[in-house]
Amino acid sequence: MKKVTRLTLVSALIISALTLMGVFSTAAQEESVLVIGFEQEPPNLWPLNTLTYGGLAESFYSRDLWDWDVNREIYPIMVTEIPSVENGRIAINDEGNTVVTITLREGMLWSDGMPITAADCEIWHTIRFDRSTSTNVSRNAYPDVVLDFSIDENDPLTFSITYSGTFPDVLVAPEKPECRYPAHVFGPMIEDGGILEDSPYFVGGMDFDGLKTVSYGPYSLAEWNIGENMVMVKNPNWDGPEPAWDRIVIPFITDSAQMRNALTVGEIDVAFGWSDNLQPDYAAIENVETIAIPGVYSDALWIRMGEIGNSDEHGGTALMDPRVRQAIAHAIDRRSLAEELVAPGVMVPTSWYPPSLWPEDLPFLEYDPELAAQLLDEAGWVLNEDGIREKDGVTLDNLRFVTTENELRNNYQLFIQEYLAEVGIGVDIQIIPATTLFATFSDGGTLTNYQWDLAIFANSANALAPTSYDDYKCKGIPSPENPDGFNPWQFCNERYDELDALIATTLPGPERDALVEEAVRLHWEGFFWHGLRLRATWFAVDTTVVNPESVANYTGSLASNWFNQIEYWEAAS
Amino acid sequence: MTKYIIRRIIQAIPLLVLITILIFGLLKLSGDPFAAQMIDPNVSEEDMAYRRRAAGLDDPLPLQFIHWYLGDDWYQRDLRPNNDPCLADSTVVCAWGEFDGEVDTPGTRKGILRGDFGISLRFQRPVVEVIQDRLPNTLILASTALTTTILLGVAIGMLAALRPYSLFDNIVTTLSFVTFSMPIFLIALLAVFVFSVKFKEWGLPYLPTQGMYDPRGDRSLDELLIRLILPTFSLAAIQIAAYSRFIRASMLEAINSDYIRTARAKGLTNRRIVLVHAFKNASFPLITLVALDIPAYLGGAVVTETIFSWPGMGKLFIDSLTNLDPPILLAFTLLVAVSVVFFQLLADIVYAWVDPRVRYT
Amino acid sequence: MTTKVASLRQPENEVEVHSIWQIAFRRYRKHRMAVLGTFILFAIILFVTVGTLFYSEAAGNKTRLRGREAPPGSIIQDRDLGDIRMIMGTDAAGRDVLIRMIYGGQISIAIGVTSMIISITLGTLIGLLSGYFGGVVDRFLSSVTEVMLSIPALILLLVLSSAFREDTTTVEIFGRTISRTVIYVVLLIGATSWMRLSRIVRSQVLSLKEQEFVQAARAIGVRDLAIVFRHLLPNIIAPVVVAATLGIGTAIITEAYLSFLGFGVQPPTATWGNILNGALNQVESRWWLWVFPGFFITSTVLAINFIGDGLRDALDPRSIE
Repeated sequence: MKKVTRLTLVSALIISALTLMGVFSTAAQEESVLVIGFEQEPPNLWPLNTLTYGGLAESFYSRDLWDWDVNREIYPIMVTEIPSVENGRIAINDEGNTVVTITLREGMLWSDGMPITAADCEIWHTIRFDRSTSTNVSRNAYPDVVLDFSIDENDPLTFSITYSGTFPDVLVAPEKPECRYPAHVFGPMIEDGGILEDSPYFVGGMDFDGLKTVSYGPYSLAEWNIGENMVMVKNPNWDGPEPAWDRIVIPFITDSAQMRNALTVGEIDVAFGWSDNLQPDYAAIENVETIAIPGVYSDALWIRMGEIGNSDEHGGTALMDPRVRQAIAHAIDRRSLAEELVAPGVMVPTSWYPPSLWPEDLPFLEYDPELAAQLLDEAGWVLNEDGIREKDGVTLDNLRFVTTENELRNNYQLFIQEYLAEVGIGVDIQIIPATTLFATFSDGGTLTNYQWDLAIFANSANALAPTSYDDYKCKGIPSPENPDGFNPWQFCNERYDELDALIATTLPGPERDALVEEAVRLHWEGFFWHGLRLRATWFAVDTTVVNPESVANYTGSLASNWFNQIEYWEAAS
Repeated sequence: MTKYIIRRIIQAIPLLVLITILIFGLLKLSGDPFAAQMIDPNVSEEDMAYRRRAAGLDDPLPLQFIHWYLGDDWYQRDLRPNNDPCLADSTVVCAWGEFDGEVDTPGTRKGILRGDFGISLRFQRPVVEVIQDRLPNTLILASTALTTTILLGVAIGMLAALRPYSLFDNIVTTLSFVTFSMPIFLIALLAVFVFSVKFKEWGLPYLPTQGMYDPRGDRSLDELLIRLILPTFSLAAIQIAAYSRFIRASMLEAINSDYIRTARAKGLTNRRIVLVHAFKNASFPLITLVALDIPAYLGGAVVTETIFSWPGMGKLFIDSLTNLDPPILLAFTLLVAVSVVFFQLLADIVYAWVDPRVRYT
Repeated sequence: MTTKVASLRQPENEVEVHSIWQIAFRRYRKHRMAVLGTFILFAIILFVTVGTLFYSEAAGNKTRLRGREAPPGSIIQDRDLGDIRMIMGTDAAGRDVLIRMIYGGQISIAIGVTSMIISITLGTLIGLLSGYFGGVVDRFLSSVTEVMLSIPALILLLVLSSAFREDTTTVEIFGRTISRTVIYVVLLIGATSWMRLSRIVRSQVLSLKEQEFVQAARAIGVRDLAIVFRHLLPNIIAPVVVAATLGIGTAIITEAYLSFLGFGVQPPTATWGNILNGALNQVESRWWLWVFPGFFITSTVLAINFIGDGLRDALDPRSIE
């Protein structure tokens, strides 16, 4: 046994020596560093793509003309003042088109020291306007609604963009003016007929040269070691508030158990975007505080209310009856579910529209199983001897209830299944990968091919403008002729379509408010959207490194602008 | 000998071709890579169609396969749709059909035979570069894990064989069976929980949870070594069990064989017998075992690398699979398959070289 | 376990004849680990089968909003049954972990057994055909085997799974509604794990083919099929039995790996593997959610490995005294 002892001793020595070496070698850091764990690595950094983690990385090194704070209040960044009708910067010209005039602040520099002028904004306009310059930039209606871009002859910092017709949401629409990338980097490339995606600017790797990532923001992207991390360093040419850390390191940690472990041992200082049910676990870590930032997504129970997709096997025409859809909402104790499954105090939304737009008297459909039963009886769906709702030989025992792979949603599914069973409605639970569930009609998406009756997922509302999407318009119903439509619930109301068109062309004021109120009501009366919870973005911060209050006050609450005020975050005192 | 090696290499070629066909076919089954790239839904249909065609995804399947092999720089593709109004009139046959009849660009790929494995859809970089970034990381982890496994496996196996059915042997055997029967991710996460999270809580020196280097910037060798401990432990835990069992069995067999009995009769000490003669005998099959294991390590430990955020081949593979990046998957699988074939060949040669009983045929 | 047989051909010498199976059984009994493994496995199989007599699957799917994540042994309120004690605690939806272990275990073990059957059938058949017929058949089958062997099994399995994981419908088997992914997982594990056995079988058949009894059978014109099944198959049964046993364990653990990497059996169908995977986020605070599935997977696979080890020793022709 002597040999065994010796062997054990030697290996124990080696291990402890290495351990000690590691512990002491991390001492003596001069630079201040903040480490933020990302759960996913962005595949690329193409500008304005809607991939969440690409947008999150971008918000460290790029700032735009203006942005929104945690309360969704607009604030200026690169402009002298926010354009408005009052200050004359938003005006309707003689042809009835909307002209917005923007003046850049003086003295701003790109991270490589070149001055920022309206010419830079022009190149970004060109890229968004001309489809041949990039296939990935998200343009929405930009090429269709923008008529003209011009730089003031007397002032190289002032430019104006003309939008066709009355365009009230010029500050918030996806087609809003933007000025994110330097003309001296992209201009020559575009002129040579190249496309944006070919620029080495957006591609990481061992030999990634951060200097190419010329931008205007508190930090610059210095390194991107693919599969490992991104490193941001202070941008010397940034004229905004001085950020608190010299460097920000973003390691990619895909395993969610490991994300928490890393925060526990202090390898990272901030973990964010983790699911609600982990809140007690994160809060239990020593020196860690958790913060919830309300978001723009609400998980909801969606009901396929239209005719397409009906079959006697799955309840026939039952869901076309608004009383049945209303009964479903009354049958589920949504407030208790949110309280128990998510966290106390979580908001259960009444309408898909952001709360600021709800009319005061818009009722919440409270849990009331008796009312639910009564509504179902009225609709002719009565209990049969098996305790299942039945009408004309069709039973309501096999509604297809779909959602994505997500523990919380799956638990919601289970509880809703039981609540509905109480009133005599049976559902069949299916869990479907997001790529299949949300795929378009031609790609065989579950929703768009009407292979469902009930669903749980989130569809973000426009938190800044009262306009809606084609997802709620008659023309959005997917079909072979309309393979990209995404209104599989088939909410189709001509008055609503008309209202939305009016809202999109009415300047803010009481007239528009009335239109909005009517639209919100019509949407609500469809009873195809029953809110389950307003989703929050969770942050867990190490309070020995970061002042948690500064995180709570300076964090974006839109879909992917969470780090848009990172320069205001404070180090722990 | 040379003739033998050459013949074996020639034999391996059709095998590799078959492997590529299999992998290519499997990936085509996996669906549309463009749909899986989560490309912005606002990208217009025309843009998507253009990109698909430019990437060669609309070519006939056999042609795609040939392009992958030989490249498509000799192949002329018509990319732009026919905007001729005649297309809208269904009563006439248009001159160029769906596309405008003008060749836009010849392809740019050279094909794997000329060393071009294509461009990764996800990273937009040449696949070769992406793999070059990752392979060293995997090699670091794999060589550490393999060395640890062999050293500890052999040592434990030898000790167990020296005193079969002793307390030590029984404990080691049971332990090796237990680790061998546990999922590696459970071992790994429990190890992190104990040696990082709990050790820190107890005020002991603790190990880092994941990553290859300290995110705060320390990229020193010490840092790397310390971060190797937990991944190596989880990789080796299972393999040590297998190796020590193997060594123990083949040493016991050797100890009970005639020539060892003769050696003992001649008065050689027990330890010498075990160390020299029995181990020599047992080491031949060990070579084969190691050679067969190396390619699996090269492919990267998918599970271990995922848990420890180790930027190696295994993580690259699983990320490319979830994002469906066929150029990377094809190159990756081919690399692993080639190394399987290569190490198999190497094992045979080394085996023949060290064991005089084997002849080249 | 000895039998006295009066052989007709040797009437003058009454001898004790031990069939190979009797010898093997005796040796197996002496293998302490194997006997222990047999008992463990037996107990687990009892747990997942007899358990269903006490608890229905519906009871296992029953959610309790106010009894979520209750630690083992705690008493929670059930709206139909009143206060009940949860021996293994409840999960995030308030479901009884004990019942989930029973029904999840059924699926895990079923995956192990059925994919083993596929793998053994393929491996034996391909090995037999390839070894017995030789020539073109052998060359074709051997190269298929080699191609499949050249890609590590987990990688092959993952690439294949990615092609099938989007089918999320359910099927009804033996009165249980289960996710169709179970079938895919079984087929895929079976289809990617037969190669080593087929090689062993092939080499055994190659050497058996040259032996006298086969040559004799051929000479008197016995049909190929009859030779394969009557003479060759019985003689290669030992490696097949060992491979079959170990194959069950490998398949159970492989299913757990697939679940971990997101390619396994999809909920709502529970397996030990996907229950375990869902629990690893909360190692400390919800320890019972990983301890139980982890224990069941490890002990089942451990028992199977013990049994396989015992069988290997017991059936090894070289060590028959």
